[in-house]
Parts: sequence; C-alpha cells; structure tokens
Amino acid sequence: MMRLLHTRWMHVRKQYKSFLFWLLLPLFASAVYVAVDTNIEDQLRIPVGIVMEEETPLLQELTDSMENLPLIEVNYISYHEAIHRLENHQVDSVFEFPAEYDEAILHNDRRGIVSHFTSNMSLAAIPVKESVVSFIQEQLNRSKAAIAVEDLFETHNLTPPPKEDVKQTSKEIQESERLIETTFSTAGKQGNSNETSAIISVLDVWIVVVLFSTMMIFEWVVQERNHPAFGRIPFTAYHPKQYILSQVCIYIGMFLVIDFVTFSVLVYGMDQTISLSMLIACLMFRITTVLGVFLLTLLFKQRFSYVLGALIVCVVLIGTSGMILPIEGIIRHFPLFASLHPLQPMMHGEIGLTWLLISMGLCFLWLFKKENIHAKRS
Amino acid sequence: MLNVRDLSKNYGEKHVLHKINFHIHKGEIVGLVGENGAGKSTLLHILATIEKQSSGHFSIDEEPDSKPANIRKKIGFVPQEVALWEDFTVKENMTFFEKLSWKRRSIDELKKLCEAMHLDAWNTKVRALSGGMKRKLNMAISLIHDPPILFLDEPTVGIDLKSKKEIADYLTHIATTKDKTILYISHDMDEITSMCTRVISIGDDPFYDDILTAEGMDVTTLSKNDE
Repeated sequence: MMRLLHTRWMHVRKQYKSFLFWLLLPLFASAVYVAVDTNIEDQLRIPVGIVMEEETPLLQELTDSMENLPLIEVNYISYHEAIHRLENHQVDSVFEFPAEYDEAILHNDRRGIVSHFTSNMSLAAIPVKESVVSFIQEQLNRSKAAIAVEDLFETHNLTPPPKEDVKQTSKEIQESERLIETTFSTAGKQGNSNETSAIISVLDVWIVVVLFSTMMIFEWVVQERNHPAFGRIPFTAYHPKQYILSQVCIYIGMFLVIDFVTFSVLVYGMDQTISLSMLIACLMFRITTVLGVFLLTLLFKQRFSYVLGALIVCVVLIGTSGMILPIEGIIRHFPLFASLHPLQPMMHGEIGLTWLLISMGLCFLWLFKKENIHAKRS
Repeated sequence: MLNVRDLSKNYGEKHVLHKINFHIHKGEIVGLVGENGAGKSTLLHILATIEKQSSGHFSIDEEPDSKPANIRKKIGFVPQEVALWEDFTVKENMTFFEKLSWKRRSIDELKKLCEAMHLDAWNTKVRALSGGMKRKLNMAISLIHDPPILFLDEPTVGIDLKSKKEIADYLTHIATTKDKTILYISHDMDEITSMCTRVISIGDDPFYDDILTAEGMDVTTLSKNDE
C-alpha cells in the first residue's frame, strides 16, 4: 500500500495547488459560511436596553430568558444611557425594572412591574414586549402556584414545602409538558429546533461543495486512465482496475481525514452541533460521492467532456434536491423521489445507504467484469 | 524460450493471423517484419497478453501456464507510442514504475539502467527530452523488472541515427551478455540486418523476404493464408 501511496503522491505533488484547493474547499466553504451566517445573525439582532435598579434573582432569571432569545441583543445600561441610546436609535426599546420587582412577582402584584420605552423608530418593540411579558407572566404564574400550594398546606395544618421547590417543580413540569416547540420550517426541510437550523444550512453548503470538489479532483481518473503511460500498468504487479481502485481508496482516506478536520473545526471552533449519527451520515455521503463520481469518470475519455458532464450532473442533483427549488409537490405525488434522490437523506442528516450500496455494487461489477482483451485500459 | 503454436487471430470475418508457428531461442534477437496491416503488432500484442488470440497457444520457458499476470512477469513490452508521464522527470518515471513493479530496484540501479542506454538526463522532465531520449526511457521502464524476454514495437521510429545505434547496441549487449530474448518489430531494414540474428516475415508480399535474403539474413516467412 505504501508503494501505491507513493505513486499517488508523485502525481498529486505535480498539481498540489489545485489539489489542495479542491480538497480543502469544503472545510473553508463551511467555515466561511458559518462565520458569515453568525455575523449576519449578530447584525440582525434587535438591541434592547435593560435598566435594573437592583439586580435580583428573579430579574436575573428574566434577563437570562431574554438573552436566550436568538434575535434579541440585551444591553444592561443605566436609565440615562438608555434614554440617550433610544433617542439616537442605538437601541430599539428599553425596559426598566424597579428594585421591588421580585417583591411584586412574589406577591402577584402586576402594577408598575415594568416600564417600556420606545421611540418613533422602534421597529420590533411590540414583539419584543410580547416576549418579555410572556416571561414575566411565567414568573407570576409560578409564584401564584407557589402561594396556592402554601395556602393549601396551611388549610390542612401541614408544613408547606419551600416556595423555591414548588417553583422548581413547576419549571420541570413546564419543560416536560411543553406544548409548543419553537420550530421553523422551510421548503424541503422538516421542522428543526433553532439550535440545529444553522447546521442544516452548513450541511447544505458542505454537500454542494463536497459534490463539486470531488468531481473536480476526480478529473485525474479521466486523465490518467486515457494516458498512454497507463497502458504500462498491466505490465506491473497490479491489474489496472486493482491499481485504480486502490488509488480511489487512497482518496477516500484523504477525504475522510479532511472531513474529520472540517467537523472538528465546526464543532470545537465554531460552536456548531453535529451528532454522531450526522457525522456517520456525512462520512457515508462522502464515500458514496467518491464512488459515484468515480463511476461517472469511467464514462468519459476526454477531460473537457468529463468536466461538462460532471457540471450537468452536479446542477441536476442540486436542482432536484430541494435545496434551492421547492420539491414538496413532487415528493407529495412521488414519495419514492425523496428516498431515491442521492442528496435527500444527507440533507436531513440521515445515513443514505441506498446509493452507497448501489455505487459499491456497480464498482464491484466493474472490477469483476470480464474484458474481451486481457489488458484493456480499464 | 518462446514457442508459438497454431496461433490465429480474427476480427470478425477478417483473418489477421492464421495458424502461425515459430520458436525463438534464448538470447536470440529476432526481427519481425511485414507490410502495414500484416499483423505484426497484433502478434506482439497477443504475445504480450494485451489481446487474446482467437485460437492456438504460445508458451514462454516451456511453461504451459497462460495466466496473463504470470506471462507479464517474464516479458518487457516496449509500446510503439511513447508511454511516459510528461510532467515527471526521468527519475520520477523510473521510480513510479519501479514502485509498481514486481522487482524492487534501488535508485542507483535505475539510474545505471538509464545510463547503460546513454540516457543521462536523470533529472530532466520528459517533455524537455529529445525524441531519442524519450524512446530510451520508454525502453528502460520496460526493463525495470529485468524480464528474460523483450517485445519491442518499432521502438526507434522517428529518432536520430545516433540514438537508434545506441538502442541497437544496448539490445545487442543485453542479448549477448544477459541472454535476453528479443522480438523486434521494425520497418528499418538496416536496423534489422545489423542487429537481428534472424527474421520472421509476416504477410504474403515477398518484398521484405527478398531484401533480407539478399542481405544474407535467415528469414522465416509466416504467410497469412497458410492452411
């Protein structure tokens, strides 16, 4: 194997610039996409000013909930600074909480619990206010429940549990029995939670770039198989088909290493979430792509016609995948379409075995197909 | 060394070779001549296991084993075209095919093999080599695994006289000192008469036979229409 690796290295180093470009393109494209996406998301966040007379536990809980909203940027500022920023439209709106906030919540007192300031340019004041009010409402309901439980215990002359325990239990029940999950659904994609929606988009980018870069890298098969020097391979210790398939395996190895690096960068460097099953799906997709592209190269003898053919295949696959154009209508009428499309399983983070098995089967058929002549260029 | 018995090759209705028989001894340099389309290259391709014969058989070293992979270990095939990686240097081409070869050869051995053919542009890229140099490298690669028998399909076509002579001298040298058996296709009668010990003529046209016989060569004629 080392000797085969050496021969591949001899070829690759002659065109290392283009090879490295295409090899690393999925990594860079994914990383750049995430960076740009995060940047745009940050830019699109609605700046909201929070004025707290005193930092109390319940207020802390409320502001934590606000910070967790993906489209709100929370700024802790003084009253005067808030008004100044609001006048200069540096914040969309301002919420001012009194020092007695916790007291008011615990006694279910809703009066003067929060002041909301807006300007004539406040674009998202109303939806942000609705979100904040819903968080306050949660806290009020929890306190109300704790007071009710306390009264119930006192009615029966029992020692009531601590209010914090009641609230905690209430939170746990809220989590486990959540009726509405915040989901977004776009054409061709199933609903996904906010956390995973970003990585699905990165996956789309990764899929497209992997497909295209693999096709470009595998131009070597067309070039080498049809080169006069390849006619010498039958007179070596390797059958031409055995030689070329082992070179394909070397490429698969290189691609998998780069993919591991890509996903490590995305997970550890860019805070993306990739589950183990998604990782396996990606690696399977990479192997399927390599084998599929390799089979495609066998149909061509000239570099130009291969590149043209590869581009057409690439455009058709991406165009029919639902990535750009909606295909829900097609899937509704032909449910098999989704399971037969080579990119569909990967787009949903699923392991697509159908095309992997098909391409492996075709490679085996090619490998063991008898030739009319002994040493035909494979 | 090489024994050919009743070898025939048909492409559909067309008979290219018909029941050919001949024998080549160890250390012989045998010229294979004939007009274009007579079947010289087809015969060489069959013996090199690139193509399959329609009928008949051949053996090398009296071994009946006809598995192509086993036959290829024993032969060095020099194709008519220059089959080299143009972006590689001489050294890289030699190393590349050594890595794939049955026989391990050191860089020194590979270099000496090239030098023996007066191919001394070790670190020059193939695309910068002269036609003669390319032909020499084309041949040197076929000798990496030190095969006992060598098939050459017009290995000196289109090159200068000096390179032709150097190639001929080298082939004569390895045939006499290393007992290599050589089957050599050429249209150059001077080359054939100066280098070959014997000639096999394919085809029905007596043109080559007459010239070579007049030069005192031992000519075996293999007619395509022999029954």
